Amino acid sequence: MATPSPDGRGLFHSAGTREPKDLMTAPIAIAALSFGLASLNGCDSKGSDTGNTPSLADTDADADADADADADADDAPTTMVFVSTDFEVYSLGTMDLATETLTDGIAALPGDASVQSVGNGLIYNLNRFGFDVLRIYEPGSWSAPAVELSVGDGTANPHDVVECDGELYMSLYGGTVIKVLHPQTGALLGAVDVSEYAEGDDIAEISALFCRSGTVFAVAQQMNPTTWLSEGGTILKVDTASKSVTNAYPVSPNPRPKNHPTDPNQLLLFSGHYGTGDGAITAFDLTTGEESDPIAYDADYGITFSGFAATETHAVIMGTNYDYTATRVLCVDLSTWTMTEGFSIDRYAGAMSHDGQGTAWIGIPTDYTVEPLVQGLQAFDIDSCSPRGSLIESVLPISSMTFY
Amino acid sequence: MIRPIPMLWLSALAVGCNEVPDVSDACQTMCKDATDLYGACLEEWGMEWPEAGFADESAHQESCEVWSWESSELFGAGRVNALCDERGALLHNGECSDYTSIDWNEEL
Repeated sequence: MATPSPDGRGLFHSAGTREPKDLMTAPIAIAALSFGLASLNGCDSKGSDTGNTPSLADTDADADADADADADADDAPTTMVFVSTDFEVYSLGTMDLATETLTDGIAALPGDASVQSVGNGLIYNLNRFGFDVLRIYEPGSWSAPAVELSVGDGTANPHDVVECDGELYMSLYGGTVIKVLHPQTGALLGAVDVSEYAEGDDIAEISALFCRSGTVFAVAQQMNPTTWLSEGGTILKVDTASKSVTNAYPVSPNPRPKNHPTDPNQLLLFSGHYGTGDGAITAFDLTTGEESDPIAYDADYGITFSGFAATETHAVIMGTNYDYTATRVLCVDLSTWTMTEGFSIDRYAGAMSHDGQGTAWIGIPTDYTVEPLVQGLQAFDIDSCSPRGSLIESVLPISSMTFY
Repeated sequence: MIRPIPMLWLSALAVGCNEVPDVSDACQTMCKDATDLYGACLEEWGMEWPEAGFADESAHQESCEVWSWESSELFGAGRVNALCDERGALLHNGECSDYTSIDWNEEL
């Protein structure tokens, strides 16, 4: 039976075969076409914890990052999209930022899921290790993705997406290339070979991607496949025209970059390995390729730095202690980089994201020591370094967030 | 209420099950060119067919042919054959951007 699958590659359907038609052929064909048409309708690219300021597609000439004609500020997001999970079920939900009304369990997601926005008005759902599925959602239309496609065989492990020069770049943590896709249809447009930057195998462990002035910066964590340690990472500068790496800058081991709060020409690099106390925060200059001396050492705080969210003057840094039994949120005065205690959780937590309006949203995991079990979202005001309101409960713990 | 299906309908359906959809010469040629070009592009990008979602090049060719007969049934053979001629001319000795610029899901 011909079974054109709704693979959403923006191509014809690879699962189809030219065999005798049966009763199902016409309906499936129509369904497939409908899917194809749907796919036409259609960055916290650094995950939920990196403090990317969300924005809509910027097509005007002013200096801000939103799509309107004024130059005063970016459009404020209205809605959070989140993934909640018990690590068996992955679920999509939303929260209205004005009313803080949470809508849970809207749709099931394939697995190991994250959500990201890249500034083009669409929501990208990456389903990572073992799943290798990209879904593209039109905000508000959550019942079915506009596009769904495979990006690998289960080992590709898509980590990040960024739109640059009109194309969608997708890092594959377990792959030898960065894929280049059509941002609306997901059609494969090309690839950037990064196998030269592998360490001990042919996989460079490319994680975060950034776009600056039409150039992609890809962060290779370069894990040794035997020890699963990084002896040093590399930031790759990728020319979008030739789809090739033009420069490679060595940086600290296991780099986990964040957008700099005020300077788009810099990244903040969180380095080091989880649970060891060998990490630091440095600044990386995208124009010169130089990494600064450490700004802070995670050993001084007894945690591994992970999440980051910032306004122009203050930031919060999330980190977990070395045996993963407690999580701290530290408040940072960005003028001096002095850190003070802000919030603590007596268990592991890993999800934090800035809504672009001064609030860091922290995914509070389930506390199994009390009944009834609760989990959800805690708002934390970045500038005043204080929690705001009470826990907003969700059915499952929230693991990834983005905003539109 | 369930009504019995007349034997005539069943006979017609049985005939339908044995019908093999045709792929026109124009579309077969276009699909061959599309597969050759896309395969060359994948090689240039350092990728294998599975990384693009196809088992191998014959799976790509077959998928293209499925697209052609499905589209022919939905939009008419004349329209689709003309499109196959047009795309075939573009893809024969074409460049990767010729292939990637085609929206295979567009409504005809």
